[in-house]
Amino acid sequence: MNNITDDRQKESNVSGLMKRKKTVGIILGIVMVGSIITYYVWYAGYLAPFTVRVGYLVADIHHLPLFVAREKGWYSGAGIRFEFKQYANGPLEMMAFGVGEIDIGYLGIVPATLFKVNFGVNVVVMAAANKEGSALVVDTSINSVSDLNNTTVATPGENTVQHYLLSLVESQYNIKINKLPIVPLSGMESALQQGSIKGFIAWEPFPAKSIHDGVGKILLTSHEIWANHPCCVLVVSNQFLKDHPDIVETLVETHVRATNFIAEQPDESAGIGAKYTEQAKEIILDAMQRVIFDYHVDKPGIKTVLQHLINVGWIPQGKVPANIDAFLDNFINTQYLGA
Amino acid sequence: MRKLNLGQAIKRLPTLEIISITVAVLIWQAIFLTLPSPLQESFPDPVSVATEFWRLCTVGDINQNTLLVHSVASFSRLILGFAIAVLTGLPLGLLMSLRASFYRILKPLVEILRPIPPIAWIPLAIVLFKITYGPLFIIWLGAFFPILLNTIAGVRRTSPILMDVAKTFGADKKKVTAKVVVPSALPEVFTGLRIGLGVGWMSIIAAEMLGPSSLLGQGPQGLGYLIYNYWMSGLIASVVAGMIAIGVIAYIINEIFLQTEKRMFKWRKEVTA
Repeated sequence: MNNITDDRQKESNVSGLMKRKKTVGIILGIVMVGSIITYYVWYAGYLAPFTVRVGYLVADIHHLPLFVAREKGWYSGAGIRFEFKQYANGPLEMMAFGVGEIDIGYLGIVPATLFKVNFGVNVVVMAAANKEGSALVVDTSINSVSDLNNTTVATPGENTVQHYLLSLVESQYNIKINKLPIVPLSGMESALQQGSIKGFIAWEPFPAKSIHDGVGKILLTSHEIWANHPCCVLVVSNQFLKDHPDIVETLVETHVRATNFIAEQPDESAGIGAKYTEQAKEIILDAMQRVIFDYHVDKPGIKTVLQHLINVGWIPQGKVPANIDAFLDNFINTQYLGA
Repeated sequence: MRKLNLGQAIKRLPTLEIISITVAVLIWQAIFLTLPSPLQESFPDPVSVATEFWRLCTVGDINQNTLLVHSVASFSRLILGFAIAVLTGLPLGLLMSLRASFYRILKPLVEILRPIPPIAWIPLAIVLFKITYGPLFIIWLGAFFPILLNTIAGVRRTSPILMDVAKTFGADKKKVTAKVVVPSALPEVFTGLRIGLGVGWMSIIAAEMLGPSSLLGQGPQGLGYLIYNYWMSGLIASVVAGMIAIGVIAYIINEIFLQTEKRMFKWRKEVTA
């Protein structure tokens, strides 16, 4: 009798366990399906209106026109949703272009060129974001450029405009500098403070921040090394330009409007820059003095950069464009700038 | 001397290993061929990687540093970082496993710090250890925790019967530790060293992002730096060549450790199996 009761009890336990497993399975299934639907509806925006995906770099004051346009609400359009995506560096943003993650973006001319040539990312430069905007910060014991001879100076990497600018300093002043790549750039100020390096060359606002923190002094601005050198640009994917020329035209116009606003309202723009870079407003105001916000594309300047990348080997012989001028004509499109 | 017959000799050939690598390369090539042509420009095929690997071995990068030079630079950093991890991880592991109070004091710190990826430490590494020693700190971080935790586990797994026997024969606490606990924990400690060296090697990219100046002062060197630098230029075949170098070196290190483990701990079934 007891055995029969035990068996029934066991059966009932097993059936209860099965039911519970089924319920857990159903709940898990609902959660998974719900998550996927939510992702596509909410995050990926599949059911949302037409989305324009805009990329930019983290805390880079050279992208101030984008910050201003965003803050002013100038990114708008009937039935268009704008999605803004931050990237840690230019190469990452170019890869995002390559895999179709973004349509338009702000980044440095060097990664844009390198990834266009080496990685086959089909983008076109529509406007310049800025010119110059870098500075050589040195230890307070350095009084002249010749004092940097045989010392170590940090750069953001061998394949950057800043590294090239430091090479120009070497040739202009006939000195030899041990160029040490340091990333992330926030490490440069600490390295200078500790005496690991005698200086660093970086884009703004890193030099301005260092000065603000009482670490080092500015020895040369990039204007003094190469006046009006190209720096960041506004690029768009070729496919997006082909499919939506009207939107690209509007976006370029917005960029021009924001660039003009920076010239007219530097104080308000600095406030916006401070918000987006999470730096103090006085740092941004100081940094802005060394950045030229100009949307005109400097084609000869870009050609010089391209030639340098070929000369040092960052663009291997097998990938060098057969006709550099034709390549640049294809790479730069200023039709909406009216230039 | 024992003579091998043909069958035994064939068995000793790494046939299955060679087949596995060949199949992996064929799958890679097949994936490459199925990609649409714009993506083929970005995703390197085995032939372009092999060509790039050979070029890096013979000609070198834009600073004429060959793959061997980069490998030696990275390996020397690894050995230094690993040595510091051994010197700190082993004694601390022993102390934590033998003294309950030490364990209670350090456990929360270890458990909080252990999951933080080495790359997150980069800014602090520069502040604390300068550019020169920062990479060693990153490698130390990767290697330290497996060594520490395996030492603790090894000591704790010491059979109480063995310790009781030693005590019965008059051994004091120091002798029990030296003659019973430490030898008994050695297999786990050795596993910790092997894993620690592997994780330290895995941290090499993060470590060499810090500042890749060679320990011998010969300019930017190191496999992590090579990979990072070529990635920044969009030259992915060179990136994969560097990745393969990292993988092959890791494989060799692991094999050396495994063979040493087998020889040292023949008495332990799990090791010799």
